[in-house]
Amino acid sequence: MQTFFFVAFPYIALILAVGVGLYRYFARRFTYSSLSSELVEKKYLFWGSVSWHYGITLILLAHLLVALLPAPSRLVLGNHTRLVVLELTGIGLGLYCLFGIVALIARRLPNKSAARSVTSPMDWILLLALGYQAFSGVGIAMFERWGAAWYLNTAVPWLWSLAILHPNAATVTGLPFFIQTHFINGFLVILLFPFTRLVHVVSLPLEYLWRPYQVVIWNRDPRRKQLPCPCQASAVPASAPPPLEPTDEKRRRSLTRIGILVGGISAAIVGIPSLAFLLGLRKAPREWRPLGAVDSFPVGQTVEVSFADASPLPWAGVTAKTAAWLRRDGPAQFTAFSINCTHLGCPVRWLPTANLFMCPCHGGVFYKDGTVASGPPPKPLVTYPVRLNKGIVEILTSPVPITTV
Amino acid sequence: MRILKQLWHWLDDITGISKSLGPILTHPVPRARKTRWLYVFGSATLAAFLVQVVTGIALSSAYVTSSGQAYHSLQFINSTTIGRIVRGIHYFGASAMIILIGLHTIRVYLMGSYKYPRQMNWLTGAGLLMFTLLMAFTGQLLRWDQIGFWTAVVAAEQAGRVPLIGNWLGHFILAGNTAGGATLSRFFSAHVFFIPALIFTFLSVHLYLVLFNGISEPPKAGRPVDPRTYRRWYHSLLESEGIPFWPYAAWRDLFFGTIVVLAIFTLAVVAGPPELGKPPDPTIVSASPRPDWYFMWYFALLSLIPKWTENWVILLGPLFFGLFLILVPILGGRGERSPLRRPWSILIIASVIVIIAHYWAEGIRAPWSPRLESPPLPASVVGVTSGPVADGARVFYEKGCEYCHTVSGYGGIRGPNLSDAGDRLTPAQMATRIFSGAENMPSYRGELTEEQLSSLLAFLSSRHLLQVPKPPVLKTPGK
Amino acid sequence: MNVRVQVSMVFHLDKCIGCHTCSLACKNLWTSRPGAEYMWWNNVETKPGTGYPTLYEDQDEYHGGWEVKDGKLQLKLNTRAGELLNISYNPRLPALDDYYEPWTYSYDDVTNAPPQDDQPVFKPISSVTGKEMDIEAGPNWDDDLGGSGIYAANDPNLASLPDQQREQLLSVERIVYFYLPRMCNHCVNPSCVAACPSGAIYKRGEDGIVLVSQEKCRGWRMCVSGCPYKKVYFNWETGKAEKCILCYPRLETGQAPACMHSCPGRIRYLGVLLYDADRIEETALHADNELVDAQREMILDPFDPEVIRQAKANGVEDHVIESAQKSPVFKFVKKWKIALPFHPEFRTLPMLFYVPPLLPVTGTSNEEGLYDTSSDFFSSLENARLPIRYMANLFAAGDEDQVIRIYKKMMAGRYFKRAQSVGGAEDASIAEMLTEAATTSEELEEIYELTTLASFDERFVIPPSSREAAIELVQITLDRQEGGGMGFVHEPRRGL
Repeated sequence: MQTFFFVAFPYIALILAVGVGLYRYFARRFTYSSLSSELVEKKYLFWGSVSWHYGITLILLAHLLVALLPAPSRLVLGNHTRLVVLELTGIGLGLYCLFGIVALIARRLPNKSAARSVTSPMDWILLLALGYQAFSGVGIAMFERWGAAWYLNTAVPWLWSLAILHPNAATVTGLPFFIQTHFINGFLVILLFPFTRLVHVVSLPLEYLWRPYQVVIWNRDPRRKQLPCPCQASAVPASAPPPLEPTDEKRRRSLTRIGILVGGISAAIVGIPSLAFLLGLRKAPREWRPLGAVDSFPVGQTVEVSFADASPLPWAGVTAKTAAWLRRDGPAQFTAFSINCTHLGCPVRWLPTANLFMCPCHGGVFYKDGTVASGPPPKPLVTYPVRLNKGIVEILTSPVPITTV
Repeated sequence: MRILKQLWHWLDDITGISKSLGPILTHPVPRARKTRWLYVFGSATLAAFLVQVVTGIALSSAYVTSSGQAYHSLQFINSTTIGRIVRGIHYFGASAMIILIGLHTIRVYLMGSYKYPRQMNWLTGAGLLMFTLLMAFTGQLLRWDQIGFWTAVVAAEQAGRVPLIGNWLGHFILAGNTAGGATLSRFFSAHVFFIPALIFTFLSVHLYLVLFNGISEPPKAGRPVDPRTYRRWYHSLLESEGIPFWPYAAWRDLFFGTIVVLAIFTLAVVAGPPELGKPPDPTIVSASPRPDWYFMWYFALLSLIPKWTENWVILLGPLFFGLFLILVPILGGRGERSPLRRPWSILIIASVIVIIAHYWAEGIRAPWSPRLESPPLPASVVGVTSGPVADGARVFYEKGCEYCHTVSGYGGIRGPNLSDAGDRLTPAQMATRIFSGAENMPSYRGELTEEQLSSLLAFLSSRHLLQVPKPPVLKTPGK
Repeated sequence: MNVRVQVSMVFHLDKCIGCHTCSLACKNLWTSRPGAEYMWWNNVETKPGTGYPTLYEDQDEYHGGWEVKDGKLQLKLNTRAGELLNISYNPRLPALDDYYEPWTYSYDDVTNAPPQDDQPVFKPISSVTGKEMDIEAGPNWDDDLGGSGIYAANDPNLASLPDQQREQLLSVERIVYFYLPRMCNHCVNPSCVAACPSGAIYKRGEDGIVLVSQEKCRGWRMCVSGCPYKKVYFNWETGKAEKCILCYPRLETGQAPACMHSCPGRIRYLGVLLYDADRIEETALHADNELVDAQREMILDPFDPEVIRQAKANGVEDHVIESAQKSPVFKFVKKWKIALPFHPEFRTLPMLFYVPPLLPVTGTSNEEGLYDTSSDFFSSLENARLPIRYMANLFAAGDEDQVIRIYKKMMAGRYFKRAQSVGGAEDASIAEMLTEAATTSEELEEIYELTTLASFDERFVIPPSSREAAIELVQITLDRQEGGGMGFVHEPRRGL
């Protein structure tokens, strides 16, 4: 569950925010608007909007600054006086923000208010998410003291791990639940971004600061000379088809819809089983395979062993076998390494005199205990479970190890 | 003769071939004077593709789609002369197709032919380029010798880098927990049915669009494309100086296509198909997987980039490449077409070519690969046959130093050349390096006995460049 | 000289009967949509009066238009950075109460009423909230001086009048008013364009129509405050600004805009003007009392060979130059100089001109009952029923001479034609009158022709759109215009 919320969910939120945001920008640009309700209700908006926007901008900048520059922030926050001053400023801004969002929610609540009538369901969801974010933020600042300091060691490493595609939620999974909700809700707001009026954030018109006051758009090149003869006939088709009768139009539309529906059903009937067959993985059971008598393996040596896959297909031929490097560390201690390099899966070779594994593809080198000695591999060699059963060494068949991000 | 003519008239009457195909064949195309020979790559790619279709069908009639038997069926094909030639044509046809589609893409990009209204031509072409690369990859795998087998594993590992679903995706590609019986069928189906179906679809749209939008005229600096006026202008251009495609422009396509086919055939006969390696037995660990030449540069890339960028390159590299292909016509759909007014396009193509060529050369050299086949240093290099220096040379070989370090022309080239180690380093410095290791070198702490170390140091210290006697300094008589 | 073309208009106020046909034609065509109910791209106000939205002319309150600061032209609204800082709350935005809350009626209560003893009635329903409401204001709430003690008395243009004149205006026997149809002026120096942070409002190069790109608009609301005439409106449903588009889809197909086409009083004229775009800023920087003349200077004579040459060099087509020569607007504004811009002191260089109304000025008599029109033609101007000062505040930035000059010419025309048809004046005194009004009998004949007898084609000289030069103008206007004006590519549905 924690993995979902701190690893999968942030990516889902970000991908949706960027993907849907871009789609909406290019396909439905008309819907990009701040959707201001100032025209219909002005009085309470002043208190809500100004407090909220200024407060949240500064608070967000502070969050962002610390996350982007952890090292300088650590220096700044290292001093207790500075930490207290900054925290107090933060709480002040947070309360300012909270006041703003509460006012923004309140002005839309009264049943007869005009502001309520221009509020969509998504607006309510967004207001609640933002309201909770401000509320939990202020709560954390007040009761989980020196958030500015622990933020650096918990959320910041986690955010960085997300940014470099090496997600690691270890630093945040242990935090109190209340704090975690702040994080999750933060990504919820990011997720809501493309589905709500929040899109107006990315259209802050900074360009206005330097563009010329007047905007003139030409349909033709203003400096172009006159065309020699404007009487040339253009290639417009001679006649348009006669307009359809309204009833005919209706019938045509419903027939089109039925056609699409029926076609879709047929495609699903054929497509879903085919796809399911293609995607269905053969889940092979894991089996213990004998490798040989204990005494056939000298202590301290690494040798190649091979064994059959768990449930080989009749036509698999030579590919039904798997190889591994078996090392006898002590009288009853065995380690079996996968032959697949953790870089890109090429077979590593054991060099007995040098006591090294070497990969022929991109030059990865591993020590005899499987740890990375040099080259591109990101992880040590993967090991197989090994056991001794009545004087026979047995190995447990395992999937090909795949190094994932 | 008369009967044939009558038959044709009857056939034409009931099918309307000349009415439908005639105008297509003779549709006007712009006259391209200096650059007319640059317009042949697209049709030549098509020719190469047709070669692949024909030879592919022929090969599939004997190929056995089974992890255990594919290798033997290929051996059978190879055992017949015609089979060898057909395999050769299929191999060199693939190479030709890759080269030609690359040239075609570069030509279209440089000439700005993807601009309005031909954006969709470009996008379908980009799809075809991707599918061609996929075909090359899966095709190499179907050879199902040792290299083919490991290619499947490497493919699964690369797909495995995708966050979250990587593990599942990798095993999906292998069709199971390990590369085994079910793996090959999957790639066979993709190579023979799925991707070709996509290619045929995209190809139809691509050709339709070429007819619909017309062949782009040669670009001219200072004549930008304006979507508002382009079509009308293009039609007036065709009216005033267009030439019928058949036969005035088509003959060049035919001529060049024939040369391509002849070249493919000659190479297939003279050079023959790529030899099969060892059987795809996963227990033969002395395999040394290498991609075919068209992916050699990518192979090198994955070794040479910094470690921490690897995930980004594997994941985002293809994504950005695809995004670039998609964005090119969308963002640059209008304006100047001539490369003379688009210096960035020249720079981009030049850098892509330089980068790929560089990595390609590096991939062939593979300096990062240990030279596991290096023989022990001969006495002529060591200089002595006994004593600490000779012992040290043996240690140098046994402990694997030689796989990565060159001494007088023997050994690998991953680490520094040690032919003159004695000139550069003191024994103490050498010992430090041997013990501490580095990013690219394992640490030998605990691996060497006292004697081994001292003899190794003795050997390395004895490595000097040949001392060239210095010319005597002539004293000039003073004035 | 940078010659540009502007489609502009003249309203002959003497002929306006205040029937609101123009407003309704416009409403039915463009603004009968959710969120746009309260908008009147074209409206007719009673003057003196507070107008719509209430007191919109009071720029101390709304900060619309331009001001000259340190010899530079600057938005009165705010600095650029100041605008961005106010983006979450625009203090100068008129609220819906300043317009009126739009409403409909619960017609169902009547049409579907069951048989009952009492007469069924319907209730007003707010178009915004959908709930019952009390109507407190509506469009033309002060029509025909309704509630003049409140509305007319608060007209900001009366502020600079002496107290005595102001009291006179409101005394029952002397009460006086006229109608003022208003729409977007399609200014040459538009402050709404300058105030828009998104760059969504633009002026079309070919004909000078000012449009809002619905795709680019993000609803920052600065244009509403920026326009001193309050002719940009915020659609509370779609969250976008909207304004008069001068019916460009009609213009491009050779038809007059709906408001003009439907005018029963035939008060409206439309035609193109050529102007020098290089002189826009210089013109707007002039002192208040020079503004009218400076703007007239900026407008070019389409018969001048040099102007024609420069226009062609700028890509203006021959038929556009030809229609500029035939333009009735050119005659009223530049040739006869009897049409004036509305509130030139806002410095947006509006391109909609008004011929000031003569009737409220002369509609009074002296003690003997009649003026002596045999020699003292212009005496009535001094004790006009509606002070000249008021007219000057509206149309000449307070410069009374401009207005008096026009009135003299108009009155001269009236006496001249009366003498022609019914006699009663000596030729010598007529000649004297013409000299004093600085006009000639030929000019008066021409004015008379265009004012009273002109046909449809003479009143509306629309240049053919140049299909060969600008494909967007004619090919599927609505989706090639990139959402210009009301050219919605998508259904104008509110975003999430």
